Amino acid sequence: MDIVLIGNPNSGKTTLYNNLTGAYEKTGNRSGVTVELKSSKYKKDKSIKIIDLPGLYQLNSTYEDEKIVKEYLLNNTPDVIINVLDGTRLEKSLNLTLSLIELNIPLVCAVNFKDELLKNGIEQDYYKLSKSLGVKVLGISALKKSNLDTLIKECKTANKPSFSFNELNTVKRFEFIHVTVNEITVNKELKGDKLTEKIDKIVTGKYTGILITVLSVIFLYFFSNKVGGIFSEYIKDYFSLLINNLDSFILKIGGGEIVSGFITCGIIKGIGEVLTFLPQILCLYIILTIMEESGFTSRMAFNLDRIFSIFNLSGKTVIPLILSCGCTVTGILSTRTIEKKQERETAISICPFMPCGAKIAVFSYFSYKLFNGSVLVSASLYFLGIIVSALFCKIKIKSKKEEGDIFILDMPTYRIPSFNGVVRVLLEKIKDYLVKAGTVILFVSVLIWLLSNFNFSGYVYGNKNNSFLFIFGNFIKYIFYPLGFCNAEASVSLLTGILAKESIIETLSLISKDVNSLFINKFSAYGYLAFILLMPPCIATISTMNKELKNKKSLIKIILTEFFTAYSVALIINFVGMIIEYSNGLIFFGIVAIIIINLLFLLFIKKRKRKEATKCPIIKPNTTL
Amino acid sequence: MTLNELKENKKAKIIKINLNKNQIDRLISMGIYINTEVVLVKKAPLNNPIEIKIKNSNLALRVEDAIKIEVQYI
Repeated sequence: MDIVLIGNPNSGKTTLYNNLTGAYEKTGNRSGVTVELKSSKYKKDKSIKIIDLPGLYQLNSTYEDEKIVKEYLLNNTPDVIINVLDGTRLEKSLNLTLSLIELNIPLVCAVNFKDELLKNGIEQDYYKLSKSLGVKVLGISALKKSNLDTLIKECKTANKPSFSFNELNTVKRFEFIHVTVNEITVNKELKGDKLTEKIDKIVTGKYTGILITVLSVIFLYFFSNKVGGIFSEYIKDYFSLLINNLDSFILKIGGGEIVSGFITCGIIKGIGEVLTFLPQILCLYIILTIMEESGFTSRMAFNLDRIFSIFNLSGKTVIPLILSCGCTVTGILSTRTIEKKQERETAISICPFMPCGAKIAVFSYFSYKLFNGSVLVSASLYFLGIIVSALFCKIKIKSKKEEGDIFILDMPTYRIPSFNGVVRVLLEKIKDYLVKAGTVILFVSVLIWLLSNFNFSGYVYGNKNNSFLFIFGNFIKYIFYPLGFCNAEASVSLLTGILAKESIIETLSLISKDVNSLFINKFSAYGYLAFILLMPPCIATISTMNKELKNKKSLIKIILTEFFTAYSVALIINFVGMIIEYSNGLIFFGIVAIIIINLLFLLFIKKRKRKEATKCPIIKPNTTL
Repeated sequence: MTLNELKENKKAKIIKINLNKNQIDRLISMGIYINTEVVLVKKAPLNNPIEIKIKNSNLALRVEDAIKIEVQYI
């Protein structure tokens, strides 16, 4: 029997799914038409399959994630639908229920949060509700696993809805829901809400809101970097040791340089790189998942929305951007919470501009080698990423405003996330990272090893300058002449950067003796870093973008835009560097000052013009004389 | 009077919505329509969006959209 779970977001549907199918059970991933759908077997009866569909508010929707539900129902015939309702917001939840009744599929309504209602002394008469709706209704607590067996039992004997509400217009529907809920409820005020209100006085308070949000972002970031970083160091050291020991071992047993290289520098190194990031990703996700499940992230979006709307984005973009600072793949995957298609595309486009963990590693390497380990290098590149993202959003041509785009943010009651729920989400997200990013990085590591150690005559035996990679590098180096690094080493390292950003360090350390000699001056070197920051992202990210965008044209456009942006910014930096070097510094500052004054002037004039325009009413030309 | 002009915690009722069909459908799916009781909870720290309480659940709307929803105190 196939049972499908449908309900509003935040109705506890996922908790129900987790507790019906077993928290640690492997989740099957069935490919839906557009997105992977979660499905698993009911743990007490393996002949029953439970399918969790994304939470939604309306069946006939323009939003991608909500369309999936209708598509699924059209292409598959589930035996029963369990409609999960939020007992604390019954009136709101019943909107969807009435639409589900119209589908004429056997339906059982599970009113969730029975435990909360009980605690507040609220009673709801589900028998009466069943009679009014014409479908079976029962109360459950997904969290406390209460009444779940009865729920499944009811599904086995569920019938198609007894009546239809089609003839009711919207006003009548609302009236019906309002009256019905009033009839079946005793005692209407929920105390839980009072606690949420109290907490929100600080979290979204006028003076404390922004502070709390900023602090939480900083905390999130530092926790994942520092705490995660400690474990990352251990893993990195472990793998270095492993590679050295394995290398000597293989040589000792007569394996030869090629075999040893392939295993240690290709495979083991690749695995090591993937695992090195894992602790940071894990730490990031632990905090983020708790924030998400408790309802805190809605408040973050609420506080920051104003700032993001200046760039045609919404507060929901904050999470993907934060995640992208860990690993862009995870950031892009999290854009699924953004409902508007155009906004989601923009968010996906700017995620790669954030310095991800791999890029930071590259920046640190260069900072150490060329800039005396200065912290300013990485810090300034963060700002550069943010500025470029902001400009990108502003410059992006606004296509005519899509119909049906109204920003509505749900602010659920604060709830303590269940431990099992958090663990399950964590496991899923880690799987995403390992499978999506990990396999690609591993593959790339082996590939780079092959290309940098072989050429047409075979193994290169330590003379890397003859390898495929180097030969190719000598062809493409001319592209980068205007940027100040016209040499095979720098160019080919950038190329390997398309495969995986960490490879840049590897390739450079493999084929170049003195990194300093690759650049004409420090500006050009910084421009190189800016190029790495803004250039098309690693293959793992590109493949994730491909899956999320579902539109090859958009994908190619984004990649080309990124290349163009990276090139332009690096060019400007190099140009600035040349001016400073070959001319008097004062002249340079003079030019900059003039440019800034002009910009300010223009801005000022624009503001004045706008003010005048609003004072004078627009006079419509007379159509008749 | 429009939704964003409400005083905090004073009950009001929606009397007219001046948005396009898709936007109205979205509002309906969230339980917002004519005759629905609404209360302004607070404005965001930067005065946009605004948090409202409808049918025992809290939602946030942008001022640009709230300004198109006409209300009157009950």
